Amino acid sequence: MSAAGWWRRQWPWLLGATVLAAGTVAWPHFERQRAIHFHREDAARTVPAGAWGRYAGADWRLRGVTVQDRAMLPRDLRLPANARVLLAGLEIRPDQTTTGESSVGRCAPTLRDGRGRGWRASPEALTTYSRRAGFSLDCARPRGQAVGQPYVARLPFLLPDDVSPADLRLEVLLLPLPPGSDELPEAYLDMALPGGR
Amino acid sequence: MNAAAAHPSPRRWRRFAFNAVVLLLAASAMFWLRRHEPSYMERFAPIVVRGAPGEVVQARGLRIEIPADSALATGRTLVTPGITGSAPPDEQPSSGLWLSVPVRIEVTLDSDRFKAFLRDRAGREYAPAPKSPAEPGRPFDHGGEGGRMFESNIAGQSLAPGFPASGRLYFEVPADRLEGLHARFHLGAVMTPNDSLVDIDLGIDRHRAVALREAATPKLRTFVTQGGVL
Repeated sequence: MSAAGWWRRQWPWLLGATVLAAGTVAWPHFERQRAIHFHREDAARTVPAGAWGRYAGADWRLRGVTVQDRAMLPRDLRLPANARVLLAGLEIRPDQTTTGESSVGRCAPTLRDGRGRGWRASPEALTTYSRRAGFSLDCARPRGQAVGQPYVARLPFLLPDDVSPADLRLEVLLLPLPPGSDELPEAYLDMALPGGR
Repeated sequence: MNAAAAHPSPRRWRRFAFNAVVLLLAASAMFWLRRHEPSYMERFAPIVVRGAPGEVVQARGLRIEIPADSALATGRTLVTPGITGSAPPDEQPSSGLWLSVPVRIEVTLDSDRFKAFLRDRAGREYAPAPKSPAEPGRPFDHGGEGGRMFESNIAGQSLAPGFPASGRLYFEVPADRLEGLHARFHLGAVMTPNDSLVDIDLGIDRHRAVALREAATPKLRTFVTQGGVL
């Protein structure tokens, strides 16, 4: 009984063991790659400029982002010298449900520039000003507006003046997602600005 | 039954022994790997980014400097703004010391709050005194003439990229624990797995600890007034 003969007789087992060993390495690798790919690519619902996007039981459209004239801001607003107030108009059309409409109030809108820096809507420095100017603090329907109609959330942002508005995109994330929503928790809206990238 | 089956040949014994050794080796390798597997805490431990005063420490999403030129200060009682402009300042006496640490901090990715604490040689951690709820720059009419009050305490301040915050943090520390203190910072209310933890050695040796204890002022104020007296 030679050693070569043993290898020849055992070849189905040896082949099986090799395939299994390769599989135990490859399977978790591809599983992980799939998760990474989802987080990188598929989590973002990309919406072209001026178009309606679908996310978490509502339709969303970015009307535009305007830079507020510094001279028009209240004088007692103590902002850093390089600060600029931007106002985003976000049109929202929540779906009708049996109890009224889909709840989209608890949103976290973020303006993100090409370098990956993000600024959240309604920062603390603008709270008092927002209240006086009647801006939205979140994506909830403004009080007194009839349910069933689309509405506009006017969201203030505070950005340094070295960021060009053409370099920005608006990200919208609902935290937490409305109950009964079939949206994945990682998903978010990624909206292009009119005339932006 | 032949003789070879009844008395296994030395060759079969050798093969059996070889297989047994291989099995034992494989089992001990598995046991060793299992024993030396990193624990949950090790796998998700923060990534510590070390620095010294005067250096700009760059961590993920966070840039921090403890300026070397603006010195640490100590006091016996911490004086913070009162709730309203006309209320007298609040005083918090300590049986140890209040240590004031200058900080320049900036977020480089996302808007967030930051958390800071001091860590002594024994691993005890000290949280900073919270920022007073008083609005910055509000009129302050206590102590004679009216003026405006600006707080230097930046504990828990919300930060945004492009807007660095400069100020101080006030920690209550036992008087005999100053030596070897490190300041630690991270983003967010709680640490997320594998996030950066900035660790800056304040450089307090025995002599400096004694000097800081001796230099403690009776009252350490967290705010300045402009246009008024106090």
